[in-house]
Parts: sequence; C-alpha cells; structure tokens
Amino acid sequence: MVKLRIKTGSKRIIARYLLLLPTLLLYFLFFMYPVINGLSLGLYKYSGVSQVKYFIGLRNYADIAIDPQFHNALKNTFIITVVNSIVQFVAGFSLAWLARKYVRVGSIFLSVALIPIVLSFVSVGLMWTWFYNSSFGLLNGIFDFLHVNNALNFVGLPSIPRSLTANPSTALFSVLLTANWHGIGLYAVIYSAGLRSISPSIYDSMKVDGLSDLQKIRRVIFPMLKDTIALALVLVIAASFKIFELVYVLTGGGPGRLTDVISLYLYRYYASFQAGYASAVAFYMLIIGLVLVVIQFKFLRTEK
Amino acid sequence: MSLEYSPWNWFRDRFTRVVGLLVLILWSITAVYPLLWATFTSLKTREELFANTWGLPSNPQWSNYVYAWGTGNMGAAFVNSIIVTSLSIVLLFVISPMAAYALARAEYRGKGTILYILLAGMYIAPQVSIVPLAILLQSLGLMDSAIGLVMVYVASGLPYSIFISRLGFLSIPSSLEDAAKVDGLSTFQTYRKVALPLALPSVFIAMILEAIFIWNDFLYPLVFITSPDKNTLPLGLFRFQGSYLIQYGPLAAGIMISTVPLLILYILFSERIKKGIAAGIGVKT
Repeated sequence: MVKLRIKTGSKRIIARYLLLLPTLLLYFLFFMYPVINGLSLGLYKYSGVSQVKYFIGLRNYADIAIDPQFHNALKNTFIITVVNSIVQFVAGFSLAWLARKYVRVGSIFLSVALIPIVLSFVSVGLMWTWFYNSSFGLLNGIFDFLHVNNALNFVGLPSIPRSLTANPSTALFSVLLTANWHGIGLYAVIYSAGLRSISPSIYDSMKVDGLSDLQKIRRVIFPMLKDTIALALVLVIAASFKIFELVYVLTGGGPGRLTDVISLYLYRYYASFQAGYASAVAFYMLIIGLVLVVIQFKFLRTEK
Repeated sequence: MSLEYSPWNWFRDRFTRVVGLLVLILWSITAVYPLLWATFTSLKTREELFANTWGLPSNPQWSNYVYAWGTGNMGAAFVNSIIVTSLSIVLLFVISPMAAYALARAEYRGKGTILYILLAGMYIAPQVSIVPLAILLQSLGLMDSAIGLVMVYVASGLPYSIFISRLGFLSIPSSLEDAAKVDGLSTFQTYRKVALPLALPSVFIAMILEAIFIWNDFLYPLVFITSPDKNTLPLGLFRFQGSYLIQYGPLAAGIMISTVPLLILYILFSERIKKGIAAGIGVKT
C-alpha cells in the first residue's frame, strides 16, 4: 500500500513538471534570459545593430551616474510617483467611500469610473493633447469661460500658459493631471472592494456610536484597510515608476528634455543606437525596482 | 443608543447626500467625457472642430473612419492587433492555468523556487529587458513579426495570469481533488476534468485583463515592429498622428477604432473585471 502511494506520488510529481514545462521554457527564453543577458550588455560600448562590441567596464554606469539628464529623469519619476500615490489614495478612497453610501448609484458609478483603464495610453495621450491644445483645447475653453487668467492677473499672479504641455513650468503638471485622471477610477474600485470586505456590523456599530465620517475613517476604517491601502500603494508606485507612454505622447519628454522619466531616458539611448548605454540604464532601473520591492515587502509585513 | 433627531441633523444628512451624489456624477462625467469628445470629433470636419469644438457633430463625417481605416493604415493595424492579441491569449489560456494548477496545492521539490521566480516577473518593469529582447528577437529572426510579439507577450504575461489563475485553483476544496485521485484519475485528467472547469472564472478574469493589456500595449511594438504595415493599433495610432499634418477627425476615428472592441468587452464583463481587480488585490496579501 505504502509502496503504491509513493509510486503514484512520483508519477504525479513528474506530471506537475510536465504541466510546468511550456511555461518555464517560454518564461526563461523570452523573459529571464533577456533580463540576465542585459546585465552584461551594460559593460559594452555597443550600438545594438552591428556585431561590434567594445568592452568598456563600468564606463556606462559611471557616465549615467553623473549625467544631469539622468538626475532630472529620476527627479521627474520620483515626483510622478509621489504625486500619483497621494492623489490616487485620497481621491480613490474618497470616491469609494462616497460610492458605498449609494447602493445602486455607487455600483454604476464604479463601472463608469473604471472606463479609462480600457483606453490605451496612446489614445489617452492623444485625447489629452487635444484638451491641452492652445487653439481649441477644452482646458483653455474652461479657463476662458471662467476668466481664470483674468482673475489670476487681478490678484497679481501670472496667467496659465496657453499650451500646458509645451510650457516648461506646466509640462510635468500636464502629465500628472492626465495620469491621475487615468488612474483614479481603478483605485476607487480597489478601495471599494476593500470597504465591501469590512463586515456590515462594523458599519452599523459606527452609526450607533455617532462618529463623524472623518472619525470613522481615521479610527476604524483605515486600520482595517491597512492591507488594501498598502497593496494599492504598491500598485501605484510600480505603475508610476515605469511610466512611459503618457509622457512620450503628451510631452515627448519636452520641452527639451525637461520632462524625461527613467524609461524615456532609457528609450532615447536605445533608439539612438547606444544599446550598451541603454542596458546600463536598465540595470539601474532593475536595481531601483528591486529596492522598491524589498521596501514594499518590509512595509507590507510590518503593516500586518 | 438613540440618536438625537433634529431638523438640523435632517438637513445636514440630506445636504451631504446630495453633495456626495453630485461628486459621483461629476467624476463619472469627467471619466467618460474624453471618450464622448473623441466620438464627436471623429465625426467632424476640421473646420467644424474649430468652430464647434465641444458640441455634437452637425453633419456626421463617416468618411473620417474610411480615411483612418485605409489611408491612415488603421485597418491593417486593427487586423494585426486582433492576430497578436488572440494568439497570445490562446497560448496563455492553454499554458498558464496548467502551470498555475501545478503550482497551487501539491507540495514537491522545487515548487517554491519556481513560484518565486515566476512571480518575481511581476515586479520587473518591461523597459528593463527591451534591449536584450530586441537582440534575442533579431537573432531568432522574430524581429518585426507577429510571432516575436506574441512570444514576448506570453512570456511577460505568464507571471500575472499564473498568479490570478492560481487563486482560482486554491479556492477549490481539496476534498474534490482527493476524490478525483481516489477515482483513479491521473493528474492531467484531474486538471482537465475537475480543476480547470472550477477555476475557469479566475482564469477568465486573468485572460480579460491580459487581453486589455496586450491590445493597448505600446512599448513592445514601438521597439520590435519597424514596418508600417505591421503596426498594432496603439503604434499605428501614434505613427498616424506623426505622419501627416494632424488630421483630427480621422485620428479621433482611429482612437474609436482601437477603443470600441475593448469597450464592448468591458460592457459585457464589467462586473467580472471589477471583481477580478478586487480579487487580485484582496488575496495578494
């Protein structure tokens, strides 16, 4: 009997490995191998198209570390990550909290609010480029209608530039505005799922205790939602850290290279046939990503 | 226990309810307005767009769609996107639940390591590997081809779809699997006849979310596709924008062409998609 069980057991184990085989083959060839191969490419002066590679040691890494453009790209990525985290937490949670109070309307609202996630970043970027358009853009239309610039000048402030995406002082803001428009609905859905996982009796008892909404949220809801909040933050950070398409379409990293983010910085060098240099940038990205993951896991564990 | 009930409280409750509702409505409008605007714009001439930017088109220009589909190359891009997305999803649908099942309940040597290595892929930004991937595809002759894109999408989609599908397999009561074992079903039979059908809702959610991602992805085609007739939709849209004096009507039509299929998918499955997003988050802890 025992012998028989061991025999079927090992057969079943082989079966599991067979089930895993296609996944492992594809994953290693088209995912892990390139990641590992990329690590060494950063050590070469290499165009990416010719066969010629010059070993230059850590030159690329050093050049990147002291490049002000890279610092600028890092700074922008950092700003986008922080702003997205805050806005999408506050707005996403607030909308979820509101939606919970209206049984029917709330559910319809969440379905509508989630629509932006089915739009490609390219579509979103193009549409928003037109909203920011200096001649017929919706945003300028709203500003004109409300006489915003007039009011700003009246209190001694400068006007809002006609083209938000092209003006150095507002280009990054235009990226932030669009990115958050795109993301808020998703986080509203995530937080509302979290709110729904809290038992109804808790909501009832809060009602009886006569707490105000802010007191309820701060004292009862947030402590219970710690896991959801932490994970939602992980998602925002991961998404913001690799932001590429929106910046590429909205500002192209411009004006000049003012609104470059890390991935756009990397892509520029790949596209201009400096694949070695781009690989070194990728290595930095990988390291920063890993550090984020470690921080996140620490964070998640202490939250529990 | 009882709450004081005064006209003031009544008024305050009413007021906050109305304001809350207004906020929800306002955000709903903000969320869909760009899409509505693109719909209107796709039916306007250039002149009308400048004269009547916000309103309904007075004389719908369906020719914008014809132009986008033909001259704008969006038709080819549409077909290419269908090919790439469906091939990737079929492959993912076949292999990722298999792996997810193998990595769900059974304990055996190497399982933990394999699981970690696979899930680590979720944390590696795609930008990290575009350069070596381009070199790999070049050496395999898969650059500028649908198959190359499909391979990359499947490989990079595996971690997420395995993660979500695995949640489905983990939610099956283990007694069912034991029963199948007692009945003498092999592992493959148990997988195909017992486990997969029960985990299908989760697998399905993973496939919907992957399909949305693949359909909309821009980075991989940007790097791996060079011929204009091999564009997928987002890349086609981007190149369409760059290649002419910006033709707003036809471009907006291109946006609609690339969005409508996903919009239909979303309308059909929005409850499942919402649930999927919630499940992915809720259980990941």
